[in-house]
Amino acid sequence: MKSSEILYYAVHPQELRAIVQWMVWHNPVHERNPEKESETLKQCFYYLDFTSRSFAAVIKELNPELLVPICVFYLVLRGLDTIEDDMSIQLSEKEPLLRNFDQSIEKEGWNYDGNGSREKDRELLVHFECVVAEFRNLKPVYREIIKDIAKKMGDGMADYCNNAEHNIHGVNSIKDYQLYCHYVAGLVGEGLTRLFVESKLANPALLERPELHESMGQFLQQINIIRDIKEDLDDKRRFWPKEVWSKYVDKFEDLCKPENKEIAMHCSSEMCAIALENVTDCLFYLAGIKDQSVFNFAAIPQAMAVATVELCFRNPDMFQRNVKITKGQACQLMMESTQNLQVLCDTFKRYVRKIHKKNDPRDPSFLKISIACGKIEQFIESIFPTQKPKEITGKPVLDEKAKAEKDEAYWDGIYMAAAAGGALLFVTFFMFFIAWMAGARFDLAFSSMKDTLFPSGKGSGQLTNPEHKEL
Amino acid sequence: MSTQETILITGGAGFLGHHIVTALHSAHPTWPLTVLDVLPASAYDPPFSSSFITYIQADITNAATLTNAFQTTRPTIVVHTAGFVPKGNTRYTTLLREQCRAVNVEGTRNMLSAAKSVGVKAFVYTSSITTITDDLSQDHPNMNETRPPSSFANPAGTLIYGSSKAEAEALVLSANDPGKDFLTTALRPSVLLGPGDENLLPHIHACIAARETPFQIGPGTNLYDFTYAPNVADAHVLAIENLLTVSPVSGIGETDEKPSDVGAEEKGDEGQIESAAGQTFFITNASPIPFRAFMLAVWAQFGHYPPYTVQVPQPLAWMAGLSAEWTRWAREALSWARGDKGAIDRIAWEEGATLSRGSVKDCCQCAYADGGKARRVLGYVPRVGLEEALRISCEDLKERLARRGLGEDRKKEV
Repeated sequence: MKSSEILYYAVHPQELRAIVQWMVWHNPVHERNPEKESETLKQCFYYLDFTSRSFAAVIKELNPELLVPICVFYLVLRGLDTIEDDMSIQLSEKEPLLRNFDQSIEKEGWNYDGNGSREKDRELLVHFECVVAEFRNLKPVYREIIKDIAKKMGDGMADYCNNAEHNIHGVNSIKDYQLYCHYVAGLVGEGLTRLFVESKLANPALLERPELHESMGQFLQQINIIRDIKEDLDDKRRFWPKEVWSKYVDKFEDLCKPENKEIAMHCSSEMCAIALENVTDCLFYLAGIKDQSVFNFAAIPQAMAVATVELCFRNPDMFQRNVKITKGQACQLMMESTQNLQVLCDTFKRYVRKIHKKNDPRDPSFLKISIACGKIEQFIESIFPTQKPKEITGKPVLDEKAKAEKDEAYWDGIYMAAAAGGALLFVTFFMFFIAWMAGARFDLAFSSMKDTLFPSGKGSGQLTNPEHKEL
Repeated sequence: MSTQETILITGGAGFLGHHIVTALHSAHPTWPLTVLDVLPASAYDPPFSSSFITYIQADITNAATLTNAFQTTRPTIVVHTAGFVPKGNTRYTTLLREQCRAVNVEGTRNMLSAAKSVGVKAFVYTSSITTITDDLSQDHPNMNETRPPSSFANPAGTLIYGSSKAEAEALVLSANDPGKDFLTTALRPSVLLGPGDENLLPHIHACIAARETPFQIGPGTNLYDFTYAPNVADAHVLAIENLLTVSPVSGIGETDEKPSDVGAEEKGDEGQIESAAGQTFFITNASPIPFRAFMLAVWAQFGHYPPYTVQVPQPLAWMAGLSAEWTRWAREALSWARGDKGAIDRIAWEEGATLSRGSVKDCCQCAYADGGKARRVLGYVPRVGLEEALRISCEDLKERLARRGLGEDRKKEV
């Protein structure tokens, strides 16, 4: 793997450059200070690193006000997810765990060791008492938000576990699909937004537009579901809505058969089109964030997601193996996501145009994709117009400006000539004065000049005589 | 809306006019509706067999006959859709400038004069997005109604059609007079598709037979607005309702709205709907897509997919356009030198040509509008999405081609 990576970056130096740039030049907005942390908090950050490959670094750069609340929030949700994902836990045991999780996190010393040994994040729950301890240390308003989300999410997950049809057939309609994404991701967006607003780091108006943070969650979750199709199938799980895939294949598993490559791509295109409908709301949401570290925290995953859509779009490999954006691409995206909204929008536009280019008229979703991409570009254009207002008003302004410039040039010329002339006069006068002071005989010089210019008869005579003598 | 109104629509026999008549009659089946157009009455085929729809043949450039028509029908509402559109490459020349102005500007002036003389209350003018986009020297991404028409800022560089529509539009807006109960508004539809279309889909479809589909000019990412004609017809109905029901506040009608903020509410304050009088509105399908993508989608409807794609750099295409123009000029000169009796009809020739510097610029231009103002003031939302609109329009074109005995050609194409 290492040698192939070396080869890859040898052929893609641009991406290697991005990695180096990120490592060398990235300046965190905030940095945590481990020395000042309690033992339980250090453990929490250990588990954050352990369970989150990509988000941990971004969370640690958050504004100190939000650093711990969001770390705890993340771990609480990860705990819920670990219970929900584990197929080895009996439903009779799992359901109350999920529904009562919001109460468990308030019990000092609570933990859970019932996960199967294969569950990768098992250790988090085995030592969950450190998360509980830090949760109890949070401000009451933050605790209330986290509890509320944990309750809603736990109930939603429990409902899905109980849904026999869901377990056998997976998600049926697009609405069901979006509802599932709401429970596992949309609610996360809601919780984070409430934390942002409560800490005064984001515009309170974001709470009045729940569809915005809902879209933030939906977009990320839908992209993960699209990308992870192979992995999920191997784990006997299916999240693509039947309403979509049944148009293309009779059985969901048939999407991964090599002979169905073309129709599988058509199916994934429709999934991508559904996901892309969230992007304008995501950008709208990001425009409402004030704090740089919060912006980074929210923008990085969205940029990763749009790059992932482009990667998955019309890519048959995603049905054969797990596809990921490269490390270089990720570093590039992280740099671009941590500047400002305009740089981020340029990134989105770049990927949207790549999607446009790959679009194929044979694909039943051709126009749907094209329209979704067009709306994203239009939204970006509406907040960062490429046409400057000056150009829009056209000639009248240009005429006035041109005229002013002409006048200025004219008078500049006059002034320059006057200055030059004045300097010359001054220097001449000054030189004459100095010469006179040094004892120059201007009277003699003047007479001499006079003789030269107006020769007298006497002078002429004298000049003539010597010549005759010589002859 | 319980009161009885009388409607007169010009250009009702045309492509867009036909859809507007349909929409008006559907919305107000008992309002008398008079269609005024230059076609002979025998050639007009109304969309409904209704005693409420009558037809008058008249030329809007003839002020006398127009005044007579108004005296006879005494409409309270006027929809002015009639206009002259240069076809093919004549669009990029000045050959038809006088005809353009005669119909689009003087005709509109005549309409306004006649409408005022009989006490018309609401006057809806069908303007065009070309008032802005016919300046081909620059892109027009997400333009809104605060932009002045291009011919005001760049008269030399704006095409004759866009210039004439802008001039006519200015006449209409300046004629708005709430004090005398004469309200006017102008709608600016983008490029149209729909059943009956003769200007857009047929030309794109013709590229299949001409084997031009593989050639893409430029990167092919320029966004463009394509609007379904029945949606534009809906906008006209909404504009009439606005003019009839919303009282204009003095002062507001004189200036265009500023572009809406990103965070602004999509709808205006409740109970305080804004009047459309004296204003212009971009009417689109709210779905800008790349020009190239639209063409590919059209061809796909006819079962054609370009076997390969050649991306022609725009400067090269521009040179090819220039060469094509020079070739035509040379032929014309040669023909003239030979003293042929059947002199070349240059207009007809230009109409049939497809390649020129202008057409290259046209299909590489990025031009789409912000439909926020139409949504906010008129409540306009495109009822039929672009995907469905394209499907319906292509089905219609297939039927028309079949009726014209071109079925065999279509089979070959498939």
